[in-house]
Amino acid sequence: MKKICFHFQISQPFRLRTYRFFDINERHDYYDDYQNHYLTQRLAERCYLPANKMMLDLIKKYEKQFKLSFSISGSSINLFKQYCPEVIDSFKELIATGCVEITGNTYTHSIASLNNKTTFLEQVKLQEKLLKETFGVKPKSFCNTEIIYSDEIGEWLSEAGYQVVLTEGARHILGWKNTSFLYCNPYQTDLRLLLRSYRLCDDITLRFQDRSWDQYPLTADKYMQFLHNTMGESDGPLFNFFWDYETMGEHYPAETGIFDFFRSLIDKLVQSGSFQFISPTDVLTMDTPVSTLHAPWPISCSGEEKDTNEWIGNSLQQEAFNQLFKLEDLYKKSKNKEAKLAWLRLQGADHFNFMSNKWLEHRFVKRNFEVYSSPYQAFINYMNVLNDIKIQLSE
Amino acid sequence: MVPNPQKHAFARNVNEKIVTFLGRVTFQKGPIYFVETAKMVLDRDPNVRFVLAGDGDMMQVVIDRVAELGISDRFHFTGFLRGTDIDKMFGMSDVYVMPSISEPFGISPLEAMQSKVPVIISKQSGVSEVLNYAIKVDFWDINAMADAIYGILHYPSLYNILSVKGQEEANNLKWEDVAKRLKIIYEKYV
Repeated sequence: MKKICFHFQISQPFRLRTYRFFDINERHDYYDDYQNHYLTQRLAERCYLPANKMMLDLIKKYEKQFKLSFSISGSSINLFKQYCPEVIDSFKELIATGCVEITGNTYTHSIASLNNKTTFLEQVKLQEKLLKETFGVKPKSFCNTEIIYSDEIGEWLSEAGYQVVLTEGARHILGWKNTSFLYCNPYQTDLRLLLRSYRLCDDITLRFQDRSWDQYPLTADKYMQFLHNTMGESDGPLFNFFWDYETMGEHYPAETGIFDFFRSLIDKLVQSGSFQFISPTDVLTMDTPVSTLHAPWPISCSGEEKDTNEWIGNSLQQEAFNQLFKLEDLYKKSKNKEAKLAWLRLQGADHFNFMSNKWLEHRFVKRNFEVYSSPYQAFINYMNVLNDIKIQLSE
Repeated sequence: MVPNPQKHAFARNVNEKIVTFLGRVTFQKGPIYFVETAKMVLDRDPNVRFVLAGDGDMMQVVIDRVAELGISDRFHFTGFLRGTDIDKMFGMSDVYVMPSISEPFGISPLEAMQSKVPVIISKQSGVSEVLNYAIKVDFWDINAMADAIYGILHYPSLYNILSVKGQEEANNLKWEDVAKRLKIIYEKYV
């Protein structure tokens, strides 16, 4: 019996408005309220609400046989609360079934784990508080921003009380090992690692609508066949699938048949009898790790390289990153709540992603909701906001 | 563009940062947007000098507007430049702005980039289609233009990436490559 873990990530940021240099020290409203409202509503209607309803139907249909987990960033939860509270209600309904696990996360989809322990754990603690208030849950598993992970980040999480971490099945750290086993952190062997089978995940996220792909069109039957093909004798008991929840309805609109695909896939997985759905913390009682896994440098879900260049790769991103975290002391001392929250939000991975010129010359990854016409404009806007926050925090 | 090592050999003789417009002072080149932008930047940061190099039928209008805005002490006119004076001007510049309303191609930003000067060009210029390491704004969007100037002058990493990578990009734009690509296309279809 193969164990299968479905996990969905939701991480919408508070988008920044166009903030000019002459606004510095004049205005302190950094967010694009219209965009934030519009996009939250749009995503709720196209993705979160219909997808949650589908998941709820499936859970009811199969009772305890279908399980899944979510990581929802604090910013997303706050956007829902502000602009679309019915999304929160539908998640509450899902959690009440007992078949849905909410994992820990960062508060603002932050890349603080690439900076230092204190900034990262501050984010983790704030998110725990928000999850407690909103859903009444205390997570034991953790899914970091863009599944960034390293040995050191694992140690920090273990110290914060987490027992399972979801991360990428990056080939360069796995070597000859494979993602179908349970691993653990080499220094904190109680911390278990679930590794994403990214090839199989990408078959949906990248190739579902790719007409040049020899397997197009992808159907649930075909996907089941992929799963069977990857189950060799030497393989372990696990299949870990982590996707952006927006894959359903936003990256691929409902008309493409993405909802029917997922529904049918789940039907087949449950009915085949050879798969058992688990949630991340189920591995605590079921399996013991087969081995330790070393990740001396941070890995993530980015590109083929699985590194962190998408966020802190170029000199603009590094400058923004350094300037941002220089303000840590000011943040600790300041009593200005708005500015403190803004500082946390500026840690969001999306802001750094906008400054990336990784694809500048050969742009084959289309970003959703592009706001800036170039990485430079994204950088200028970010730095203008950051400079105002610096003044606000020091006052 | 053929690299010219002499181009950035000229030293500046003022302490302030220099923002340059170089071209015919005609309606089509958008000099008036340059003046309006200068005012916005100077209101916030007086340690900048703006230089308008060139001559044309809009000159009187531009001078009047500069006087009206009260920025004459920071806004300079060089008149028509030629030969090494152009190189000297680029050598002294920290930002080059080309706010053209319409521009079939626009070779001057490439010359600025060769001299390691970050450039801001209008989206309405042909050259904006071939450049990655340049900031592109709408010619009428003086807020965005002012913001880009301020950004380049105040955020060193932005200046550096545009200066270093920009020079590389301009030096790599060669007629040979264009001709080669054209030849391939011809061979494919003819």
